[in-house]
Amino acid sequence: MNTIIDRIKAAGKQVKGFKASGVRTEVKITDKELTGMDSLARVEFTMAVEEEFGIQMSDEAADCIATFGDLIKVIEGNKESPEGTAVIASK
Amino acid sequence: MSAITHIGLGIPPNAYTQAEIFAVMGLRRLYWDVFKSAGILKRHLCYPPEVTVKSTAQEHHDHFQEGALKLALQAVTSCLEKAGLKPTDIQCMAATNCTGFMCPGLEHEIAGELGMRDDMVLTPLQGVGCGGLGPTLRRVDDYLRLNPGHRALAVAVEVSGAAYHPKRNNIGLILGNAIFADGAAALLVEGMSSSKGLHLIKFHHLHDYANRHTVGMVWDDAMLKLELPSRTAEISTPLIKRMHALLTKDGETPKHVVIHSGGMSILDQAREVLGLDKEMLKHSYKTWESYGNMSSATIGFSIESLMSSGELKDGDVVEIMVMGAGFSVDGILAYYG
Repeated sequence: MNTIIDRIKAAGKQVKGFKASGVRTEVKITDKELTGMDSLARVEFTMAVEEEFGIQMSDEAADCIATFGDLIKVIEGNKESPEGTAVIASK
Repeated sequence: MSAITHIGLGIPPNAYTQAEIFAVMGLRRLYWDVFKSAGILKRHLCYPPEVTVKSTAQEHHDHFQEGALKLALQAVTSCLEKAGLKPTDIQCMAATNCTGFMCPGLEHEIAGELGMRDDMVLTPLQGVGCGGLGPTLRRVDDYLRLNPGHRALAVAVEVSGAAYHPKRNNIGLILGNAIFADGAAALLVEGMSSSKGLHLIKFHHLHDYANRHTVGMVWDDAMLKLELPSRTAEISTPLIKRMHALLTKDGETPKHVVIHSGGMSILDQAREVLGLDKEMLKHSYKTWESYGNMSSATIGFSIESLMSSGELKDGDVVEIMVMGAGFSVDGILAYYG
């Protein structure tokens, strides 16, 4: 079974310039050197991750995400608590 | 050989910051990055964004018809005033637009409103996209080669606000809403003139048919939708490279380069591919920062900025490139004199 990190990497493949090797819990999503993503690519990446996991992140949840580790926590939190406020299930 | 001698602009009186436009679009905060990182200071719009985002298909169409004609008349009148000409001194007019539809076209409306000659050669060039002024200038140049004593107008008019679409569910549409603006440019092209101007030496046109559906306008729920792929710069780069090679194959060395300000990334990438410093493209960057992407009218603003800058010296070679739906790149080489 694919882990969350594998699915994040798979979603990122749709985004031009995306470096799967940069998807590590401690890496900041804004680190262009490691992730290969500029600001536009990061928006595309977020949309691709939301589609992959069938979710739509609230503005507040998105504000709390700095690293891929934070992103994984938000996704895991949604899985455990679909009624939670951090992530709104959209599908 | 024909020359662009004067340019008039049509600019809506009201301009809005990216933050002001974003605030009324009702978008998720996630998308603010797309607006913020565009590098546009202000966009001029005929109608306030809070009106545009709630408009029906019919209202969008009405906005286009009313706004486009106002902007076109402002641009043409200003151009003729600069040249000291009357509307009846013009024998040919070609007009391009892609953000709305009119039949008869804008060229007929402009001619009728200004009382121009009733035996003019009038040509509409609809649906050419951001690169519309390339084929439009080619059309008037063709006309002037046959009628060298005549004068012609190449007009580009866009009301992009009439193509902002309420469905904002993909990055291409969000990007379109984040950068497009309204404006018009009217270029006087003369077969023979005592005025200084940009003499049009070469035209070339290149098309990437495999990408003909990646950039353009889409009808959705009876409304036009402006969609841009986020990687337009990458699509345009190979054509820009080929176009530069074609335009300069006889050893010409452009002193000034003007490229369609379709986006900061397009300008940056073109600069890298052509090995230009930022100074050489400064008029394109200035247009982008001050106005955003006014589709086909944009290049007219950059050429006007160059021509009014006082930087042009006799004999200077100027390279002009536009790109847009098709996916097409049109190139013009000109010299000043």
